[in-house]
Amino acid sequence: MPLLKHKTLVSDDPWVFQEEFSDVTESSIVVPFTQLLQQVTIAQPQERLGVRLSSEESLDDLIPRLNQVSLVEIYFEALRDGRGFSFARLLRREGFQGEIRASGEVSRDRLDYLYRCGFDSVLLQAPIDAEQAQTAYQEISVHYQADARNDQPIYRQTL
Amino acid sequence: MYIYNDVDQKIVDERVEQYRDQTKRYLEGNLSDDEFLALRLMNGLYIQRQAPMLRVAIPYGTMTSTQLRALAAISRKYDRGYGHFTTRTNIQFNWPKLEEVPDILTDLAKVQLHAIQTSGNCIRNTTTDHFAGVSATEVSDPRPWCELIRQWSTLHPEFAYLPRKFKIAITSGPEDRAATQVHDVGLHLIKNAQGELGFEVLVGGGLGRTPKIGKVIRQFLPANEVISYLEAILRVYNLKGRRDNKYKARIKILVDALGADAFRDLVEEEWLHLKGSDLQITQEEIERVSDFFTPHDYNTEAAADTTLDHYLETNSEFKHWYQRNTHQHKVPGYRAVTVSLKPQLGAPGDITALQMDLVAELADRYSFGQIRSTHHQNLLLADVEQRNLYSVWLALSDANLARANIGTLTDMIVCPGFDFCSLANAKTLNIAQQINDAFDDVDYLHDLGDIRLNMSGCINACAHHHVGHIGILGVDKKGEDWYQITLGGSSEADASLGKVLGRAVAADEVADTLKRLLETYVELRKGDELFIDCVRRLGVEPFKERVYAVA
Ligand code: HEM
Ligand code: SF4
Repeated sequence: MPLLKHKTLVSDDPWVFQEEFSDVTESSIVVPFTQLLQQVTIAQPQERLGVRLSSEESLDDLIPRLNQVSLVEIYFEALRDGRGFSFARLLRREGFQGEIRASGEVSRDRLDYLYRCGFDSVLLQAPIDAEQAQTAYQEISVHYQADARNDQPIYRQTL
Repeated sequence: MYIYNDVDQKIVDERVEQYRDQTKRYLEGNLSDDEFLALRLMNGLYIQRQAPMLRVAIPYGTMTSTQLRALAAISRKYDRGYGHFTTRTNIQFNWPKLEEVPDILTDLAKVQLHAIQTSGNCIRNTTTDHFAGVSATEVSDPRPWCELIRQWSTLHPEFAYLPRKFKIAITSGPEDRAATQVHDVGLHLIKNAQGELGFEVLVGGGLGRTPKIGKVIRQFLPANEVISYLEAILRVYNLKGRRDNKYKARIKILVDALGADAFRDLVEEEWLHLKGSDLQITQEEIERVSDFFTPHDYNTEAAADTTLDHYLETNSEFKHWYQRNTHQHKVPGYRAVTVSLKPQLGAPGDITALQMDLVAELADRYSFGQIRSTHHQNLLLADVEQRNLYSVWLALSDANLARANIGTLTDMIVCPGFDFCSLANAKTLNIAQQINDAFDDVDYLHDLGDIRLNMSGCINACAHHHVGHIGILGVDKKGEDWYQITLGGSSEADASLGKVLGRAVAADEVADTLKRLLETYVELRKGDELFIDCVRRLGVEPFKERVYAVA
């Protein structure tokens, strides 16, 4: 699956998804949110722990545990399920500094909206070449709204 | 009238090219049906019974003559020479080709028009009172606020995949001509005791399967916080609205499930993070946008005209039209003129390219080059000097646009129904015709007075049948079209949902049923009591007895 990070196609992804939590591994692991919730103590260092939160799950329950992880992968359950966009914005508002990643039903024609909502990276299902990816981010070059990248709406932007 | 600056133009132009590329990838097989469906819907393109249908946004119902001419040209070039105005003041083309839509959008962009977010589960065109700016009773002009909301909602990155569509309407003053109480969000522009401008905020209105009247969640929102507050409402809805069942996905269902108080608490809690932030609209921006809507250069001598009285005395046809189709204007000597898109023959809301050109020309000559589309599927020339009314009437009459029926029974709101819509249960256009044939007598219609008749071809309620004084809903009974009638609905300040009269009637009995209904009204009304007031006073029973006794 192609991974885009900060608008660029990258080949080296340190993160591996694991259905089950395992403490203190050398690799950087992403575990389902339910697994994270079950852990009482966690020895895996924050730098190497990530969590996958499905858009069906509760962001509110994750927020108190944000200091345990350095990647939040938001899994879009369906193409029409737009909750993830708000999740990312709220994560940034909570001050989460780690990587926010989109996966699941995400695709080229949503890349720019994802970026603007605060996603750092996107795990795509379909192949994409570097040029296509570039285009996807440049189609609309000016924005009316404030977003996670720019807190100035059009009426405060100096163009 | 708002004029695009470079940024506005750029966004629309870039959106056209983006959509052109999406269409290309779809046609080449590089974009799945499902993906393209979501993308084309967000650009107003439905695939319907006959062909695709393209819905073009008329932001808050205002157009210039140039724009209307461009719509006429598009209907000639890409369609069959006509368009259809909808209850949400947009225009639909019923016969475009999917591959030509990008070219249509290019033509639209040249005159500052677009089809962005005219369907799909996103924030739709904001609508308002068609008398905005000319009504004597409005507190302040709602149009600058509509434009600010248009910009904020256009290509909003967070709210493009909502649980369901989202519609906002704004009104100002005691009358509600924009059906704000049956919108997802209704905003009433008001002033508080200190004379500051703000909004009363309603949420959770809507029709369809589960009709609901909106609930007030905030009595007074400072006007410059409208964007931050909408952002809070939308975020709560995006996170909490149901996604498991599309019939339960509108915000009205969420508001109902939580209760209006709990919903308000969630919004207010979210808003705490947003109010006073950079989202607050700057005074400079409010002034910049408001400057586009300053009053026209009105003729201060307009009221001195004496010719109008002469024509009114000597021409009874003109007088009928004047009484029904022209309306009070805040400037003495001016009237607002409704261009009736409810002819004796023809689908309500339809307009030909020739008619569009004519209306554009009349606007140039007599109404500052501007035209509005109304919630009732008509057009409006908002600023006509009384001395010109007779000429306007003559020209409109020639073009079959002067049927003196505005506000009467035959000024129906009707959805396209089975003839064009793949969701329909029943036809509507044939029934509209039946009603037109049965109620063609002008004197009788005028005697019946103000009656709002709304007819939808299925429970989606595109024609707002629940809030018609008389509502007609097409239902399918074992493959046959039947029609359920409701009485006593209203979408105005006194909003209410209609009550079912009784069992549905067969297609060929609709007009006769209405006749019996209205005869009952004429018999039972007190003095000049309006139909709706009479129904409210007596309830549906006496009407029901009469209607079904005969059948
Ligand atoms: C012919 C193609 C059309 C299709 C497929 C269509 C489809 C729909 C659907 C599915 C809904 C219900 C959405 C929901 O409640 O979640 C709806 C609502 C609505 N439609 Fe249409 N529609 C069409 C044409 C029109 C036209 C011509 C008008 C205007 C005359 C219109 C105005 C509306 C309005 C105002 C609503 C909102 C009703 C409410 O408040 O719930 N639609 N439409
Ligand atoms: S009310 Fe039903 S039949 Fe009429 S346009 Fe809407 S979806 Fe189609």
